[in-house]
Amino acid sequence: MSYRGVFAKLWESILEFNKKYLTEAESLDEGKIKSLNDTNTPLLPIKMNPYLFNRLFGIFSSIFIGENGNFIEITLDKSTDSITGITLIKSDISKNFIDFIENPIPELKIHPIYFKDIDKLFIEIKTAVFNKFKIDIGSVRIIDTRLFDLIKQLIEIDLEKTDFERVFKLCINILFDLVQYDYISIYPRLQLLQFAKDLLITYPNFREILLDLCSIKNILPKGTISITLCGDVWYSTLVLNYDGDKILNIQVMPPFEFGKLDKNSLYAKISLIKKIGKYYSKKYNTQANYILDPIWLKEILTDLIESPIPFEEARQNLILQKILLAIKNVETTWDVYPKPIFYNDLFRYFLRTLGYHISPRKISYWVLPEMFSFFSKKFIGTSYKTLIIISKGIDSIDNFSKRDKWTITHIKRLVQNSFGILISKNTTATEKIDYISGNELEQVIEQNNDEIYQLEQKMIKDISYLYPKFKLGKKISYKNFEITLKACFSKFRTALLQKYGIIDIVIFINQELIQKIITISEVENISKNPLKYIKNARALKNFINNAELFSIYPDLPLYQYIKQQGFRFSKEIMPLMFDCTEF
Amino acid sequence: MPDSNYPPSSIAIISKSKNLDKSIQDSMNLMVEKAAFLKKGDRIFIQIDLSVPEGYPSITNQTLLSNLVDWCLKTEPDMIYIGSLPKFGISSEYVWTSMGYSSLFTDKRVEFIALDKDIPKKEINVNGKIILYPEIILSSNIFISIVNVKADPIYQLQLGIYNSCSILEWNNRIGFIGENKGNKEAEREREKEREKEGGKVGDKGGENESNLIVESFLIRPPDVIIYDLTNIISYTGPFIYSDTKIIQSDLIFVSNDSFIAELMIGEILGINKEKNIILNIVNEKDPNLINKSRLNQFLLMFRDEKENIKVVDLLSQPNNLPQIKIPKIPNIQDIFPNKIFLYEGKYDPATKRALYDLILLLKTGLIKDFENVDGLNILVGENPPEPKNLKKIKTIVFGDQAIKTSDNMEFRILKSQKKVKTEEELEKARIKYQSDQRDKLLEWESKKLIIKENITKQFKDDQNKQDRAFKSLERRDTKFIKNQKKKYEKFVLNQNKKQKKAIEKSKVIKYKLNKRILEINGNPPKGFEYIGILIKFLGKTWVPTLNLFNNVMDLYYNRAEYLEQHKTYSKERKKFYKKRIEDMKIKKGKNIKDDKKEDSI
Repeated sequence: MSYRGVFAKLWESILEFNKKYLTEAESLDEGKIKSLNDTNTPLLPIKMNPYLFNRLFGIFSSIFIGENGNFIEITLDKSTDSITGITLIKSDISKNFIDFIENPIPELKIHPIYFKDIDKLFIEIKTAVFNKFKIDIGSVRIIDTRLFDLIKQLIEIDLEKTDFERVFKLCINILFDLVQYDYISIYPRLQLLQFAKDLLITYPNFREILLDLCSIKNILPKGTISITLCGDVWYSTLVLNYDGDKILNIQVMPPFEFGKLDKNSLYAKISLIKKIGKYYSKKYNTQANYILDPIWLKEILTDLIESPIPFEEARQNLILQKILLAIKNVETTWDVYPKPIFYNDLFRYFLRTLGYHISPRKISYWVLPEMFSFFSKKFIGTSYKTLIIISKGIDSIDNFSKRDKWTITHIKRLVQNSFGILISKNTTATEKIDYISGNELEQVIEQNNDEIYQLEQKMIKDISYLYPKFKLGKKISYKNFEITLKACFSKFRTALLQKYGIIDIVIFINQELIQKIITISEVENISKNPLKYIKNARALKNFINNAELFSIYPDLPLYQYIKQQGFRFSKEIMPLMFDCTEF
Repeated sequence: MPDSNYPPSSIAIISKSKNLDKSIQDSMNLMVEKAAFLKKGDRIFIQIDLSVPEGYPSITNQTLLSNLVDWCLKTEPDMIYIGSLPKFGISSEYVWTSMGYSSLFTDKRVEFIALDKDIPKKEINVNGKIILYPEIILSSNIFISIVNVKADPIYQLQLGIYNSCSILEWNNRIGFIGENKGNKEAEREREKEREKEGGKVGDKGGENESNLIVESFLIRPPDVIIYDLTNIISYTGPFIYSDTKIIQSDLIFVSNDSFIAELMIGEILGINKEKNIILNIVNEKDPNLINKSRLNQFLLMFRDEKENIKVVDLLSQPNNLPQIKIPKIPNIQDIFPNKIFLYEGKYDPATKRALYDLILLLKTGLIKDFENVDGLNILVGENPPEPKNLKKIKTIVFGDQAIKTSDNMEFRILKSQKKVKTEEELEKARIKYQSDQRDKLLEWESKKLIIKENITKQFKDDQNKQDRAFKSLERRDTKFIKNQKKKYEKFVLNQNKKQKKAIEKSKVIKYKLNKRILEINGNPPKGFEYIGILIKFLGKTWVPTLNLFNNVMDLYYNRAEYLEQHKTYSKERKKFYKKRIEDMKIKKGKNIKDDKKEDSI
């Protein structure tokens, strides 16, 4: 089927709406909007009211299209090296597509051979289109027909039946294939595409890392939440439900369920989130209802894609600062209903009497990123390599007896079912991100069994020196396990020398820990039941001292201090995270 | 131990590569090829940098060390010893273990020597001063030194010769480089030396200290010196502070002649030979040591695209000498944060270094907390000027020199005296009182009018009642005016009484110890021992970042002894000032009596 056949169809109802109301969409009557039928959204497997799509597309389109919404799309069949179609895409002021004109300039015979001199071709096309249609086009896009097969896979997904892990993985694969195999090329270059290309060139293993991250069990918290993107008068709400059994249910809510927003009211968003929260918590049993400012989201995305790659530290800090500022500005850039208990002044006062200074409205956004990067410089170094091993735990217990627990076999299994992210940092930027498979790590242990035994002896000496209270277990025990684990980590540092150089620091994170953090951060706990929250937080209390969940090698002074302090360290870190002046 | 201080054939190699492991191995291979300095069965000592348990480049690069050891192992040595001593008397084993060096080597021929532990040491006389030198270095066939280039407030950069101090015990380093920690005897010795020199302060002291550095270096110069130029701590150092700028390059410099190496590194980093205090001392001792003509081979080595090694002779093609631009060490005034005010007298290099450490520590430790600190006065050196803004700003008197010479300054003891109002102020108060009364009168007048209107309205039919009401109003009016007059007279009377009392009280001066002053004793105060006291002084809640630094430092830097010392010291100081206050009171009392006698005569 031709491009027009498959994809133009997806746009049909949206184009119809855009054409019909052109610039009037903003002032459209509430009743009319509600009467519109939901339509398929292009490129996404969800249905949505065309009015909402129009509003959202108007905000985010500049990221995907550029500053000029009019462009020429050339579809190219690379197998035959022939052009299968040329379309002029016309947009309105808000960059919403209003018309697709097939073969707009037949007099200009375009052949793939001209793509070599794209500058010249672009000017020729631009002039021809302007002369004929009086439209100034912003870009020429050459799309490989194979891209449609990929997108088709995405559109055809039935979200209600498909494992969300599969959906995420498919999205990642499509995005990376699109960039890696040049399925789309845009002239003049689009910042987003350039960013993606640079990202892939500099960090070629990014795809594997993301794919493996997706496969961590229960990475999404269980339950139902609603996310509302809120414009000036309109808002669009998604209700997401994850039952903990792989299926992520997404529902797009009809527009104006709670009427139009009052543009001039300062409290419009606050009252909306309350209404949404109260209504949806009854109707859909939502545990948390979020409201976000789409313009802020767009700004952050723009900042991100405009960042030079490799990521420079100063830029990272700036983006982090902006995100933290937004988190601080609750009720303006975002809001949540019901509010977490940390926003309750009485509860915070109570915590403060216990020595915990938590004040989300006073996050020290202005200094935290800078302070964090300085701390890493001071305690780890200015140029270093960090290997983060994320273990997915031990899947099955076949051939794994209780005797093997706390032995090197246990570590092997942990490591085999894991993956490593090796981040190489120099003074100013994150230079490289490498992916190390679990098998590669396991082989290191397999091949260096004797040496690991020698290292164990060293570890016993080192750990008893650094932690004078440490006493070794008499038999196979958890303490001995920690020694062996650290011996393995120390071997990782040198064993991969030929390929990556000496690894300065190894951080081990078990997926169990991630799950525990997700459980305690589940909004239900934070917002409704503080006692339940405290109970769950206590479960996390000693993770820093549980090597099976979390471990760092070598025991740098700061880590050693945190380990010794345990949960008490949170008391010390809070005045750094929040500004002191408060009540 | 070598017969002469320099090898017969001086060779320097600059290796240029982004791959540090290849770079070090290639340059060592070339060095062996040219100088043949290693043979099977040698005992090798590698001096590294373990100054503090901080990240690279504060300490030696582990990739470089690991590759160097691997390379050495290929030559089948008898033993490879690795050692160094950290600053401030921190345990070297702590740095070695906590930073992960310990697990890098599993070969039994590689051994870490904690030079701060009980190992055989030789007593060597250096300029009349006995220092303990590790015998293991003297007995090693090959001595390799790895140098990290770091910024230094006195020497601009810490290079190879300076680095030699890190194999000496901390106590032996006193008087060398202004890093003072050690026994009281050594400190007293230093005082005496200073007195002998006629109490010289200023840059001259730096030269004397450099003399000792050079002398100790000459005991056993390294056979091979390796400069790691890949990451250079510049601008502020020698540790990583918030202002520190890390200069990156892809160069490693290897030489078998440490003196020539120091000279050539200076050329690469753009340091003027004349300004290098240490090289000037070397020049005075033996000009031939830094005679560039001794350099037989100076090579630049790199790998081409096909990984073939290419060598360029820099003696014939000096234009190819790589250059690294290093920012200059800032003046102490330039790095001062806005809220800190320096009152400096004259001070020696050791104090200068300690002051740099203090300021950079404050800047780094208060990275977030400057908002919470009102400001700080810092007095340093001999005879510093009198500080200002004492009521609002806390003051730190830094070092014995400043403490002693500011003893008699006015800011130490707060004088409080009852202030007497001037005649002008009294007049102002009277006028204000009168104007308030006038307002009240106006208010009464308007009220009176309303009452009058009401009376005429209410009793318009009864003239008698109206007259009576007006008369009553008139009576109220005269009473009100009388009252106001009385009040004013009373006010003036009270004012005079108060003034008389104030004049009496103003004759008495009260003396109070200024508690917003922190004296950090030491000559100069020892490396970061005083942070705990500083935190207490500034308020723990207001400086959480500095507090965290201090707590982490507690793991490896035991300062209990100093804190105890400081406690007794500050008690003594309090007693001293209390006595002074008493003396002042007595003196004042006498003066008053004398005045009275004179009056009676």
